[in-house]
Amino acid sequence: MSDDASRQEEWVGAVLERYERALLNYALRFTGNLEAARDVVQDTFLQLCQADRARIDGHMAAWLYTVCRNRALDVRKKEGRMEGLAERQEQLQACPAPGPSVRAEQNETHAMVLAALETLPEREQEVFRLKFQDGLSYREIGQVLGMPHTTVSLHVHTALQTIRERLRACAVLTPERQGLTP
Amino acid sequence: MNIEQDDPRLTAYALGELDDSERNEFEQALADDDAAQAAVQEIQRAAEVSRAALQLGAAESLSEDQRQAILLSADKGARRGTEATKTRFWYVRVGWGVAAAAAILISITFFVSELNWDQRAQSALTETIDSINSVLPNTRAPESTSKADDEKSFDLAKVTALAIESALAPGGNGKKIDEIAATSTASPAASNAVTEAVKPPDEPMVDTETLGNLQETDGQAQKESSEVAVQPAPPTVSEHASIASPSSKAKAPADSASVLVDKTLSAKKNVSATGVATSATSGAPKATVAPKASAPSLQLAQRSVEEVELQLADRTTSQRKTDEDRARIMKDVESQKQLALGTDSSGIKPYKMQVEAPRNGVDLYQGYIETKNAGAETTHGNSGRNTGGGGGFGGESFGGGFGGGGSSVGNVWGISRREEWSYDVNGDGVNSQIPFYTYRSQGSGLESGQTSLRWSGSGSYPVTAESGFQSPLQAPLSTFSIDVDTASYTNVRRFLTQGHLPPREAVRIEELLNYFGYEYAGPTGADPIAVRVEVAPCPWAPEHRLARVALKARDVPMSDRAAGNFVFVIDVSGSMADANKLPLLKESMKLLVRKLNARDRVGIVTYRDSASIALASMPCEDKNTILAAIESLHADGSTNGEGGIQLGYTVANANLIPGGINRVLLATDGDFNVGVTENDALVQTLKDRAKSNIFLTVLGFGSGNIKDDRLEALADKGHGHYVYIDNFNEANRVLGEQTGATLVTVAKDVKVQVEFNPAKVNLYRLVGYDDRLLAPQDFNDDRKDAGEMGAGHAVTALYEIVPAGVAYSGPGLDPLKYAPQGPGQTLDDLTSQTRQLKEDPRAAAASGELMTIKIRYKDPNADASKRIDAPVTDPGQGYDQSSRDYRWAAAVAEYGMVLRDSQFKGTATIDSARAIAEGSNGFDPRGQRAEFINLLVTAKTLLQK
Repeated sequence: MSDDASRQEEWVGAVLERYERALLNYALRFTGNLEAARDVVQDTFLQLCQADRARIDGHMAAWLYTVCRNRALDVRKKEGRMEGLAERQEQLQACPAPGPSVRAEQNETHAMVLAALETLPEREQEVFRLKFQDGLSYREIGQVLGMPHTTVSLHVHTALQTIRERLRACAVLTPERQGLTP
Repeated sequence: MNIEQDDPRLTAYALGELDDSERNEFEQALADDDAAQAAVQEIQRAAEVSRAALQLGAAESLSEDQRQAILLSADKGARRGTEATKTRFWYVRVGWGVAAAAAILISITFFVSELNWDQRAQSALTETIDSINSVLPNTRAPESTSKADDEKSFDLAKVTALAIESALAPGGNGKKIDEIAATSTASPAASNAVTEAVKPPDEPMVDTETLGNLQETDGQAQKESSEVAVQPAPPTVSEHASIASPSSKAKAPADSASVLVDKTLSAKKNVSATGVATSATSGAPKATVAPKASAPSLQLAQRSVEEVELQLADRTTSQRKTDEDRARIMKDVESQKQLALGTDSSGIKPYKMQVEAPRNGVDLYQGYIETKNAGAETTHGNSGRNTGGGGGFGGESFGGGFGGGGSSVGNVWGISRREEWSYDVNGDGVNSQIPFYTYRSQGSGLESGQTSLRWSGSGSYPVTAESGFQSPLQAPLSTFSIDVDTASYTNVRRFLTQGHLPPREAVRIEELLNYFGYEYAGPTGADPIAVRVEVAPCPWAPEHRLARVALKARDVPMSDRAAGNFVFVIDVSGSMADANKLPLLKESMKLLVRKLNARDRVGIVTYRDSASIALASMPCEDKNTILAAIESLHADGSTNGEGGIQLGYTVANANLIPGGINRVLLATDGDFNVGVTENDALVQTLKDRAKSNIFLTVLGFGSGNIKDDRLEALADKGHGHYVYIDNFNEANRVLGEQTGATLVTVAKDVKVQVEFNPAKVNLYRLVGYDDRLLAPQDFNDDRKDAGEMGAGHAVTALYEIVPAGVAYSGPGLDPLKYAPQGPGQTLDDLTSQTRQLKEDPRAAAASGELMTIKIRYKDPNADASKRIDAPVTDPGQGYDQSSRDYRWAAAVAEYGMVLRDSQFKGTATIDSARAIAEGSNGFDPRGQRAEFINLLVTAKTLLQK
C-alpha cells in the first residue's frame, strides 16, 4: 500500500474520530431518526474520502457541516418532515421549580435553556446550536449557512440575549446561585 | 465610549470571536464600561450553561461497519497491506499454562504461532469469550454445583470447565449458546459455526464418571478433579469440532477433555477467520453488515473480561499462600493475561504484571497485576509469607530501603530489573515470552520511626551506579549522550519544599546543571553547536581540576523557524484535576499557543479511559478556537496513556509538515502505566515516527507517584526531552520563554566523546550523566540514538580531573601501584601503551593538550552525522579567575552530590555549595539562582534532622 493511502486513511480516521458524534448529533437534528442520520454522516465521510484534502484542511469543520447539512436536507426533503425533535421539546418546561440538589438544579437550568431555545426563530436556533452545540466559529457557521459572519454574530448575540433574560428571570445567573449556596 | 447592550461585539468578544484588531479596540472601550463588563461576564456564563445544556444529548456513533466502509473508502481501494495491517495484526504466542486446571485437563496448550487476526476477528473472539464467561454461573446444572460450592477458589480451571460445560450442556443451555453465537459474531455463517460446534447433543455419550476416570488415568487427579462437574458430552463432539476446525485431527470424544477445549477454541478461531472474510468482502462503501442486535461494544466486553479476571486473581491470591499455590496463581494470572492479550483490539498490551521475587532471602513476596485498558487502572496487590524459594520465577530485584529497614513491605523502596521471563508450562518446549515489567514501589511515603527524612514512597527512579574515576590509560575515551532534560531539578525541588530529602536516584546531576541558564556564547560558524570549555581547580577537591564542557545550540528566532505541527496529548484522567496539574497545564498551553504563528498547527488529543480528539489539528490563525478548546478541558476518569500517545502520533502524522517541526507534546502527571521496553508497540511507534521527524516532548505535572524514569525513557525513545512543570513560573520558562528550545530541534543524536591525554590526566570522572553513558564505539555509530538539542539549548557537563602527577586514593579505586605518583616523573616512566603514544608524532604534538572534545550530531532531517573536534589545553586558570557560570555549575554539582550522598563529594557540603553559589549569583533574569540558594537552605535544614 502506498504511503498516500495510509496517510489518507489515518487522516480520515482522525477526522472521523473527532467529528463522528458531533455530526451525527447534527444530522439527527434534521432527520430526527438515528438510522437516517447515520446514513447522512456516512455519506458525508465518504464524500470526504473523495475530496481533495488540500482544499479542506483549515476549514474542516465548515466543510463537514456544510456537506452534512446539505445531505441531511436532501434526506429530509425526500423522507418527510422532522420528527423526534418535537417530542423532546415537549418535555421541556419554561422555568421549572427549584429542586433539592445541585444536580437537579443544573438539569433545570439546562432544561430551561433548551426551552428558551425553542422559542427562538429557526435561523437563530440553528446558528445557536452550531455555535454552542457544535462549537463552530462565527466564520465557520457563516460558511455552513451561507451568510456573512456579521449576521452570525448578530444571531448569536440576539439568541444569547433571550437566553440570558430567561436565565436572569430564573435567577440562575445571580452570584448566590452561581456559588451554589443554599 | 459606551457599549450598547445590543452591540453584537459584546457576545463576539465574550466568545472569543473578535479578531485581533477588533479585540484590542473593543477591550479599550470595555476598560471603563462596567455595564459592558458585567454583560460580558453574563454572556460567558450563559454561553457556558448553553454549551452544557446542548451537550446533554446521547452521543450516538456510526456503526462499526459504516466506519470500516469509510476507512476502506479512504484507502481508495488500495489493499490494506503492509503498514496499516502491521500495526493491527496481532502476533500471538499464547501459552495456556493452567496448573489448577490439571483436575480436568492435564494441560491445555493453545499455541498459535504468529497467527494473524484481524482486529474485527479479535473483537468477535473477545465477545465470544466474554459472553461465555458472563453466562457461566447461570449455566451450571444443579448436579454440577454440589461440590463446586465447596470450592471457593475460582480459578481458570473452573472457568475452563464451565466453558466446556456450557458448551456441552444439553437442553436449555443450548439456547444460551445460540445467543452467544448470535451476539458475538458479525456474520451469520460464523455464528452458525459456533452454534454447530457447541450445539447441545441429543444423547449424552460420555458421562461424568467416565471422564473423571479418564482424568485419573492421566495421573493428574487432584483435589479439584472431583469438584468440577463435567456435563455429559455429546456423541458427535469430534465431528462438530472438526467442522469448526477442519485442520485438526478428529479425536474420539473420550480422548481427553482437553480435546474439547481445543475444539472449542478452534471453533472460536474459526469464527474469527470467518469474520475476516466477511470484513474483507464488505469493502464496497455502504456494505453494511451490522446485525440489528448489535453486540456490546468491544470496550465494554473487554472491561467485563477484565473484571472477571481480576476477580479470579483476587480471590485466588487471597487464599493461597504456599509456594506451589503461588506458582499456580502466577500461571493462572498468565493465562488470564494471555486471554486478555489475545482479545485486545488495539494492539496494545492491556496487561502489565509484575511479581517480585523474594528479595535477599527475605520471606516476602509481592504480586501485582496492573491492568490498563478500557477502564480504571486497577492494581491488585498481594503480599504474604513465602516459605520457600523463588518458586521458579525470574525477575531479579535490587535496590534497597532508604532510611528504613526491610522489616515490612511498606518501607522497602526498590526497583526490580526488567526481565524477559519465560517458563515452560507444558513441557512442550514452548516458552511463553512475557515482557516483564519492572516497576512497583511500595509504601505511601515516610515510615514512622524512620530516622532519616529520605523519601521512601512511590515514584519510580532507576538505580544507576555513579561513574567513578577512570584512567585514560585504560579508558582514554569518555562517551555520553547529551541530556537537556531538567526534570530532575524541579522534581528535587518539589521534594525539598515538601520537607523530604529526595530519593538519591531522583537526583540527576546533569539535569540539575542543565536547569539553569548560562551565558554561553552561541555558535558563530556553520555548525549549529558551539563547544565552550573552562578548566579551573575543583572546589570540592582542590588538588583536582574541574573541566566544564558546555554545548550551546544555535538559537532560532521564533519568526525564522519552520512551520510547526504540534499535537498535545493530554492526560485528563481524574488524577489530573489538582490545581498544579490540569489547570496549570492549561495555562502552560495557552502560553505556548500565544507564541505560535498563523502557519503553525495545533491539535489536542485527550485521554482518560479512552483517547479522543479534543481539537482536530487546525492552523493557529484561529487561536481563540484553540484557546477555547484548551479552556474546556477537564479531568475525570481513568488513564489510558498508551492509547493517548498513539492517537497523538496518528494526528501528528496525519498533519505532517514535511521539513517542518512535527512534535507531540505529552502532558501527564506521570501516573503512567505504560512500560517502556524496546519491543513495545508504543516504543516502536515512537521510533518509527521519529524517523519521519515527529518528536516527542514530555511535560510532567504534579507530584506523588510520578513515574520519573518512565517519562524520561519515553521522551528518549521519542527523540525528545522531558521537563517537569510544577508551577506557573516553570511553565513560563519552558513554554513561554524557551519555546524555541522546547519545540525546535536544531541538532539530533548529539553525542559527546572526550579523549583524555594521559600525559596530562591521571584520572578523570564524569559528574552525572550516569544513565547517558555510551560505549566508545557508539560515538561513530550513526544508528545509535542520542539526545536532541533544541534551539538555544545549552548542555553542561563537568569532568573532575586528577592531573598527571597527582595521586588519588579515593573511593572506588585503589591507588595505582605503577602509575606515576608524584612530580618529576616523565612519560618515559609510564606503561608501554603510553610510550607508544609518545612515539606517535600526532600524540606527541597533542601532548600539550588536556583533552579533545568531540561532538557528533545530525541535522534534524539528516541521517548522517557531522563531527566537531575541539582540543582543549589547560592554561592553569586559578579558581578566582573562573567565570561565574563555571562556579555556579560547580555549586550545583556540589548540591547534587550532597543530596545523592555521592562517594565522590569530597569536601562538598551544602554550606560550601551555598558559599560558591552566593559568590556567583550574577546573571539571574528569572530568579532561578536566588531560588536555588533558598533551596540550599531548605536542604540543609532537612539534612540536619
